[in-house]
Amino acid sequence: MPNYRYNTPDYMRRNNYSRQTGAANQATSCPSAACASNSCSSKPTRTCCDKRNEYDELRGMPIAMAYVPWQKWCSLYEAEKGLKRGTIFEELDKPFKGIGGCCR
Amino acid sequence: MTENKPNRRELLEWINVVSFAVDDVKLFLDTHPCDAEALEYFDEFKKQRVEALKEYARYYGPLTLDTASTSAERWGWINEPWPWQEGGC
Repeated sequence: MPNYRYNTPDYMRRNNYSRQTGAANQATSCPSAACASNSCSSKPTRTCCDKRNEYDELRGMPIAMAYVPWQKWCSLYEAEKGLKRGTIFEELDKPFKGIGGCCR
Repeated sequence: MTENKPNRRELLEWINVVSFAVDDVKLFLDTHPCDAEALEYFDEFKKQRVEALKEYARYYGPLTLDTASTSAERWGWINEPWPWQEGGC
């Protein structure tokens, strides 16, 4: 099971790319929301969906299933820091930064 | 007795710290009920929480019903500031 969060494939960042390059590219670049939903039609988003599958690390696994890796008892914060950070587990200290799950 | 009186705010902060730790390890134990280290951590911090709550109740009045005493003639719970009063929260 690959670590999705820390190993974000390029296609997952496509939304950012589209935003930066403007609306002109939207006809050729597929918004990932459309790809992820059943509204993905044979054209013009077909190419995008095919391309997406090509790089999908989770290819072959059933859709609509969530996978949560098993947590182990390790890397504990001091209790004081735990209260400040909202968790006593360093591994779970993942503040929301609004950058789409990418680690930067 | 008063020379060992703990600082109210510091004691309250400590209660928050140990209470949070207990609450978080409780969530871990929900999915790892046999984890020996987590059980030990729970026992230790629960003990510290209970001690801190008792200590607070002794000097400043009960924070929870668990440390509210009925041994006195008067119901002491209402002596403490209410949450909307200064020092109540």
